[in-house]
Amino acid sequence: MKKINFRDYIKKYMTVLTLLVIILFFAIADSKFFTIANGLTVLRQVSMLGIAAIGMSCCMLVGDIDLSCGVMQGFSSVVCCLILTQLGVPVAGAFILTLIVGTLIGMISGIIIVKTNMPAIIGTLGVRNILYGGAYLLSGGLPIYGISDEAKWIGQGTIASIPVPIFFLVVFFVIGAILLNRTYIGRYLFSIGSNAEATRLSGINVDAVRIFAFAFSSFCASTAGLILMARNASGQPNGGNGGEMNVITACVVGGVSALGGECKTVNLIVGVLIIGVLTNGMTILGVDDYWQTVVKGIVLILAVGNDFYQKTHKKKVKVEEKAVA
Amino acid sequence: MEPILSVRNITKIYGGVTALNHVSLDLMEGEVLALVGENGAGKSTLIKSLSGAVIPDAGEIIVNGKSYEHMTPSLSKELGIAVVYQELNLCPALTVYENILLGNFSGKAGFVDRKAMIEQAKEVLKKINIDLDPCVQVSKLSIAYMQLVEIAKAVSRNVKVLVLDEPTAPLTLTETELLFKLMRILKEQGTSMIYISHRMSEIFEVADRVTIMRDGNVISTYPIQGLDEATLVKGMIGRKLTKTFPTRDFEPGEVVLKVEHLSNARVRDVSFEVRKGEVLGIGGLVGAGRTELVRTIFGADPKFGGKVYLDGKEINPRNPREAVNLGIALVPEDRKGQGVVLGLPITNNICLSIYNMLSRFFLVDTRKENEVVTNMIGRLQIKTPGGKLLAGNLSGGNQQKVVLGKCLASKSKVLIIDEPTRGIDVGAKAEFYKLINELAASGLAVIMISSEMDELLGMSDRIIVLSDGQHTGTLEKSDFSQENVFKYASVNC
Repeated sequence: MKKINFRDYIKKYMTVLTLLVIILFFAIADSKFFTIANGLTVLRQVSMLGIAAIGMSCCMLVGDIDLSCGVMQGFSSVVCCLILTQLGVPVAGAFILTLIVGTLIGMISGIIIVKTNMPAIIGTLGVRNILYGGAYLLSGGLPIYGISDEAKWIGQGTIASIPVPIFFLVVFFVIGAILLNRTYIGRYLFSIGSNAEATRLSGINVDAVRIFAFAFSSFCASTAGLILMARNASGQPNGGNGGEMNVITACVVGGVSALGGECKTVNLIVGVLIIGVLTNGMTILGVDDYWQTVVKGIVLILAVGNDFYQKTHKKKVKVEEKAVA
Repeated sequence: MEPILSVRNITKIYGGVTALNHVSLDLMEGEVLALVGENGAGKSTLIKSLSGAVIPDAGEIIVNGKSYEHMTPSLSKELGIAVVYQELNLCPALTVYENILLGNFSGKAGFVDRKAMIEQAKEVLKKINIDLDPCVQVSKLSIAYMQLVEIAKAVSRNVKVLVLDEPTAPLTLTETELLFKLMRILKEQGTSMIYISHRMSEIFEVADRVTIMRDGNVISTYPIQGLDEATLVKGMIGRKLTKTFPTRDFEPGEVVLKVEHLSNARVRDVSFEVRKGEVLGIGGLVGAGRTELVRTIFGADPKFGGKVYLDGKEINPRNPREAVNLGIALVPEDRKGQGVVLGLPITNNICLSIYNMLSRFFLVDTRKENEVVTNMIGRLQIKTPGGKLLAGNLSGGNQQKVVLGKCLASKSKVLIIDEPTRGIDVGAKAEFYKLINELAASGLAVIMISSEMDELLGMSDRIIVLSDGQHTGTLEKSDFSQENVFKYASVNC
C-alpha cells in the first residue's frame, strides 16, 4: 500500500523531479550554470517559448495542434516592423495592430480547419508555410531594421534589473491559468478534449471554442513575435522558424496530453523550464547546436511515447476490471 | 451425430447485469439454427463469446469434441468460426479479392502475386456461386454485395460455423433472396450456420431449428417443422412482469412538445405530442429509428421535413445548443461516448450546459457552481464524497445520474431519455425510475426510449411504437401489453 502511494507521488511530481535532476546535473557539470544571472538568462530565453506554449496548450487541450506558432513569431515581427517603419504608427498602436493581424490569421485558419473538419496538424502545417513565405515576401527577403528604442523596450528593457520579457511571461501564465481554471471557456476546453460529442450534446458550440483556441494560440505567438522583434531590434522573416518543435515539446513534457483533455498550468511552466534549462545548459557546456536539436527531438518522442503508452495501457486495465466485475 | 459446436452453461455478467445465464445450445453439421429473441435477450453477447470478443465468466465451448473455456479472436478463426456482423468488417478502399484474401496474401519475397490472388478469389466466388468481378473496389458495391464479400472471406478460410447477425436488415427483398440462395449452397457444402433475425417469415424459410432467448436465458429450441409463429412470439415475449414500478397519478397538462410529420434519414412521417407531467414511452426494435427521431428533435441530426412545436410555437433547432437554449435536454443512449465526460469532475459535468449562466465577464462564479452541484448531488442522491471526484470513478448508475443532473441544471421543459437504464444494476434502476417519476410529477414532459419491455410498460403513461422508421401504433394505458407493443414493432418486418 505504502509502495503504491510512493509511486503515485513520484508520478505526480515527475516533471518537477526531472527539472531538478537536470538543474543538478548542469550545476555539477559547470560552475557558470547555477547563478542568478544565468537563471534570469534562462527565464528571458524561455519567455517567447513560454508565451507561445500557453496558446498551444489551449489548442492541444481540445485535441488540436498549432504548427504555425513558431513561424507566426517571425511573421509578426516583420509585420510590426513594417507598420512601425513604413506607416509610422506609434509603438503601442503598432503592437496592437500586429496582435490583431496575428489573431485574425489564427481565427481564419481555425475557421477553415474546424469547418472543413481537416486534421489540425495538416491545416496548420499549410498555414505555417503561408506565413513563412509571406514573411519573406513582405520583408523582401531581408531583415527590417530601424525601429525606435521605445519599441525595443519590451525585449531589451529591464524593470528593477529584471528583463521585461520575464514580466510578460509571468503575465501570460497568469492569464493562461485564469483562462483554463476560472473561465467557462476553460471548462469547455477541458470538456471538449475529454469528450467532444458529449459536450456538443450538452449544448455547447464546440466549433466556436475550437476556433477560439486557434485564435488564442496565434495571439500568444504574435505576442512572442513582438518580443522577438524587440530583442533582435529588427523584423526577421526567419525568426521563430522551428520554434513550434520547442513549444510542442515543452507542452508535452509539461503534461499537456497530445490526446487532449489534460493540462495543468503549473506543470506547463515546469515543461517550459525543462526545455529552457536543457538549451541553456547544453550551450554552456558547449554542446553542438545540431546535437541540441537531436536531444530535443529525443525528449519529445520520450514524452509523447510515455503519454500515449500510459493512456492506452490504462484503458487495457479498465477492460480487465470490467471482465472481473 | 456429434454436434460440430456446443455451448455449455455459458454465463456472462456485466457489473451486476446478467447478460447470459447458463446458456447451452448445440449446432449440428450443415444445419441452420435460427436465434431469436427481443432486444437485450443476449444474442449478441452469445455470438461475441463465440468469436472471442467476449470472455464468458463460466461455462465451456465445445468445438469438434474439444472443450475450450473461452475463445480468442484468433482461436475462433482457427477453428473455422466466422461471424458476419451488421456493421461489416471490410476495407472499403481495397478490392474484392484483396478483402477476401486479407491476411492470406500470396506472393514471394514481400511482393504480392496479383494474378494468383485474383484466381484464388475467383475460385472462392465460384464455389459459392456469386457472380462478382474480384477486381472491383469494395466501396463501390451495395451493402448486399459487401455482405457476400464478407461471407466469401469466411469461406476462403474454410469456415465450419458461420454466424450471421441480422444480415437481412439492410437488404431489399431480391437481395435477401440472393443471400438465402447462398446460405443453401453453403449448407449443401456442410457449413453450419447460426442465423439471427427479427423477421419471422425468414426464419421459417431458411432455418432447420429455432432457439428462443429471453433475458439471457435459452427458453427452448424447436425444430421448424410443426412450429407456428404464435408459439415463437409467445416464447420471445412471454416474460412475467415481475418488477414493480412506483405508481403515480398522472393528470395530463397542456401539450408541451408537438411533432408533426417529422422525417429524416431514418424516420418517415412521425407525429406525436407530449404533455406536461407525462412520460411518453417510445418502443420498437433496435434500428427502428427511435434514437434518430429524438436526435432530430434535439437538433443533433438533420431534419428533412416536418414541424416541431414547443409550447405552441414552432421551433427549428439546427444544433443541440439551440435545443438546450429552448429547454430541451437529452440523456443519450451511449452514456460513456455521448453522455458523461469521464475525464472531468462531477461538478464540471453537471454545470456543462449552464456555464454561460454561471459566469460574469467569462469568469465562473465558483460559489454558485458549488451550490448548483451540491444541490443536484443531494436531489439525485449521487453517491460521491463530493463534486470534485472524476465522473469516470463513479458507477454506471451514478454516472447516468450525473448526465441527468446536467439536463436538470439547464432547467429544461422537455427531457428526452434514451435507454435510461442501459447497463445499470437492478438497485440503481429502481432509484432511477423513482427519479423519472418525480421529475414528471414536477411538471417536466418526459420522452423515454426503452428496449426493455417491462420498463417501457411500467414507466410510460402512453407509448408510441416505431417500426422501420414509421409510427405504427399508439398505446393508451389501458392497451398496455407486451403483445400489443410487439405487434406494432414488427409491422414492417
